[in-house]
Amino acid sequence: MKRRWITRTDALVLVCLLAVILVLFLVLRPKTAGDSVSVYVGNTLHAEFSLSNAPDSYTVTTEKGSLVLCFEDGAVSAKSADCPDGVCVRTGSISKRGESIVCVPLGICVTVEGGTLDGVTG
Amino acid sequence: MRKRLFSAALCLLALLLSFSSCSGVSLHTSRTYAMGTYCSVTAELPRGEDGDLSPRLFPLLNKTEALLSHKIDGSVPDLLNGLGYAVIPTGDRSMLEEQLRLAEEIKEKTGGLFSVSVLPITSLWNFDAESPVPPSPEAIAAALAEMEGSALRFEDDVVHKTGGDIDLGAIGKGYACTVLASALPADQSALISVGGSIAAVGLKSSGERWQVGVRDPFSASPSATLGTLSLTDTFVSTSGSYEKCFTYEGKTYHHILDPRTGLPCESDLVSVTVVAGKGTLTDILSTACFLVGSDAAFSLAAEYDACLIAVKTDGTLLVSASLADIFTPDDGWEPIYR
Repeated sequence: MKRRWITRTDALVLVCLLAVILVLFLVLRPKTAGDSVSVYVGNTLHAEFSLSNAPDSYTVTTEKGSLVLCFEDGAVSAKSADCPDGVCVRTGSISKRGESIVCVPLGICVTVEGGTLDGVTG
Repeated sequence: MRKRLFSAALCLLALLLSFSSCSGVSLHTSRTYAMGTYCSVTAELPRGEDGDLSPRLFPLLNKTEALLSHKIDGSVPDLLNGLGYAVIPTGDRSMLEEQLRLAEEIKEKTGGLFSVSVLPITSLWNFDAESPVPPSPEAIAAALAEMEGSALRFEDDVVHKTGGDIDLGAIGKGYACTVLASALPADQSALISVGGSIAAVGLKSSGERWQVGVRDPFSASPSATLGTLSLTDTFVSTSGSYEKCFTYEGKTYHHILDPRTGLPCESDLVSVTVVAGKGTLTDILSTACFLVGSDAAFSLAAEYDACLIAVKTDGTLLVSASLADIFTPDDGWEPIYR
């Protein structure tokens, strides 16, 4: 049998390892603290807050029910919601750029956005 | 064949490890409420290290407040106001004395418009109250009488006060930024914010400068900006009439008081941002520049090698020419460089 440079098994192992690397990279990549929180109902921007200067709590009201957000120590969490599964509340608090709380039954998505700023003077 | 497979896997593992090590730093922000405001420290910390800077830095905020707040027993202004003199604690002597001397110097240069001997009027207005009301003209007149002939005098390690009681509110945040910046470990880059006064120390590990937004004074949102400063080893402070203001019977009163009239200063500015090499300079100058108005502000700042971003009540954005390289205006803002 002629020796081939890469066998089918080799290729399979390579592809699997690359996939593992990709997943690990996405999971482990450094997250940066964000500075603003955007609340979307469906696809429309419902409200925006600065993480460093937000109210203690805020209620997002939709046709399907409402969700209470709680801001504390530069992080935001869902305190209670009129949804049957409570996934949003169990998400806990988020504060890093790109993290989000999603409530599918109510169609609410809360995302931390950082933009490019490290700070604001004023 | 089995060997080859094994070595391929090994190579990929090595690749994986190098991947995770090159993404081994992340920006971490610690926040606290101190000195009556929100404070934060943002720094890049090696992954896995529990090296949060806050236990090292945040206690210094309370220490600075205990030194500078007239509301705290035993602080320098508390002693000055109660006894007429104060011995500055040894550890803080050189920096605080320099700061107070600078305050007196700027008071002279602004013809008394900037002053730290203003507690009689600031306590009268009490902008920190839940629902402040403007004081009566009689009360203001009495406060102004107390402030007549105000001065600080320095004699060895003792400061003496004559005239009005001392309120160091206009210098505290910049002073605290300087204290925190100098307490950072050697070679530690960080962005320190004390209520919007900022110290940008060093560079990010990527070699990038710190990106600091300048607040849009016409927007109600504190995260709305008019442009971005790209900073390294620089201090920034902003004074704006949008901060600590209240509306009473249809008229809005802001917190930057004119010590000659005892009323909110009728400046042609809505906000001034000062960029300079020292935090003890930026905070004091931002208040002083706001008070003197746009024309005098730029020459006053130039005397201290400080640069300005000033917004006039008509919306004009004036920016020091030397900031052109590091200031990027947001869409809709047309800076006039001078």
